[in-house]
Amino acid sequence: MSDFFEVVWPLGRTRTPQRQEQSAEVKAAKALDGLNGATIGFAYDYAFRGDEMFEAVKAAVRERGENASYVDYEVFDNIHGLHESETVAAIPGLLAKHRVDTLVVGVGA
Amino acid sequence: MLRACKVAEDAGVPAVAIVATGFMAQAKAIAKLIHATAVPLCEYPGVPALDPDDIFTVKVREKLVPQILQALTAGRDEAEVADEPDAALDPATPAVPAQRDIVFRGSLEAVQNEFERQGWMDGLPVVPPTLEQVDRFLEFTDRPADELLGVVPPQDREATVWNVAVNGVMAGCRPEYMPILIAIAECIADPNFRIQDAGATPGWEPLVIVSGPLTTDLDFNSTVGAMRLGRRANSTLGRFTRMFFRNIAGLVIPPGDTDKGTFGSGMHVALAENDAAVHEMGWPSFREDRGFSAADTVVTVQSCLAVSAPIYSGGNTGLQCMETIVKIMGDVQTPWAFNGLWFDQWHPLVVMSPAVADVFAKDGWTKDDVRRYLYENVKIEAHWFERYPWHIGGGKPFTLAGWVAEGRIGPEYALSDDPGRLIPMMPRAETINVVVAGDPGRNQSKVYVNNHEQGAPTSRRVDLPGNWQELLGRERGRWAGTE
Repeated sequence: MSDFFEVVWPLGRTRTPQRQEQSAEVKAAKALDGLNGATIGFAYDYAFRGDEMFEAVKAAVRERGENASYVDYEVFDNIHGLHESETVAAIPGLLAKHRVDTLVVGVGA
Repeated sequence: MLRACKVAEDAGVPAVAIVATGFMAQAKAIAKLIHATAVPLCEYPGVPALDPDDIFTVKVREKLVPQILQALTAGRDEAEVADEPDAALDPATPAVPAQRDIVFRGSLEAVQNEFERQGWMDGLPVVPPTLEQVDRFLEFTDRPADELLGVVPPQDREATVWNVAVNGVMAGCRPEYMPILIAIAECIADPNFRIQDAGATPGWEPLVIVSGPLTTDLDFNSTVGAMRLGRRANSTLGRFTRMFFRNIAGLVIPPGDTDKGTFGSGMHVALAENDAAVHEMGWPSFREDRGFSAADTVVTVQSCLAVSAPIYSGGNTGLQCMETIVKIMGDVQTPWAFNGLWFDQWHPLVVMSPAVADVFAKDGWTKDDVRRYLYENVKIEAHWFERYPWHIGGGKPFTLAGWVAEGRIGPEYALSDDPGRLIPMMPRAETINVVVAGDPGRNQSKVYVNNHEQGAPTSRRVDLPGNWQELLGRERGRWAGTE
């Protein structure tokens, strides 16, 4: 074996779109002007004390004097549990059914 | 979790994600990969499962909630999002090279240094992937080099026959392993395998099991030291698999940010079934268990989270041998096995030395008998399953009785309300796997614990090229130094 090598690339081409395409894609959902009258949904992976965090969000909204309504995490089921893919896929339908204006998802990555 | 945000955003509903500090880098990486970079990431500073209640409350109220409220409303555009450049996710090479492009030239040492700098290696020296070497591998398949085997998350990179060969060269494989390399890649790219979860915190590793006549033809070791480095086929195919996770799936430990395995574990060796032994005792082979023909060679890849201590079994009956297997199988699975119920999947692998398996076979036990006995007798005190999720993530408590009431699990899990009652550790008998390998002269078994639905056993038949025997003869000639 010689001591001079010409070598090829060991990775695979990524299918992730370029950054410009991503930016255009994710601008679709706009934030709310305020939370008064809004419906906030909570989706949860049933870990890392997210249920306590969601309650703190509700308390903070009340303290701001805003009157929001909530769709609790049980409605969306455990997003990191049995049938995870199906559970996540069902989220858009549940958001529409419960007229959710914005969604808080926790916890982890 | 980011995927839940993504589907909401796609439906026109703004979403925000709560992320603990330790996961922020991974969250940003995943957000980019699934095109959810505008989702605000609201950081909980620290590890929520470990913070005392008073500290947790303060952090949530004063640090986390303000971020969430800002992100939900007009401040959304100012919240932290995953839009920073991330070198670990993009090829350092400015443009994606074509297959046969030379990306680097240099000495053996210079190649090692360059691959280390680029993050294209597993930390061990690699065989330089030259065109000549890669072409030798490609001769061992009838499939075109540019054939797409799958798009592999989390980096959504294309797995092709070509880059399988490249990584096979780098891992030190022999060219004639190429059909097995392709089968391994296909297993990993199969959605059933869930490679996207291989960077999860439990830190599971890939375990390759090869069953069939090629284990003899390609000189696998299936006997003494079956899981030890030392035989090229076992050692390099295991190494290739981990390298595929890194280079093709893109699961990269720091300075990358897509692999969050808390510890992980070390060397990988492919396990070969002792074909002669298993047939001699009259048991079906592992490949037949997996639904293939005895004439095939079949690769199975599964996750491996933990390996038991050696299980020595005395006696000359199946029941006697089971005394220690049941005990130690329960020990190694730990309360983590609650995930078998949580995800409704659990695939432990029992590897028996031929001597132990022969005791069972001679005593009239089938593999199904072994599976059933283990299912019925490997048990754990119920309180462990109910408590352990809290230790993992401080999550919402659950009760087995509640799950029984919901119909998720059978009534055997709530026959009383005694927290010390013994319950089955595994959700079903059918998914317990048994392979015969190891020292034929020793009375030992081991258990390899998979990680529920993550890395569920996934199998592919190994397809050989039409001129396999000719090619194999040529490579053997090279090996022997006659060419």
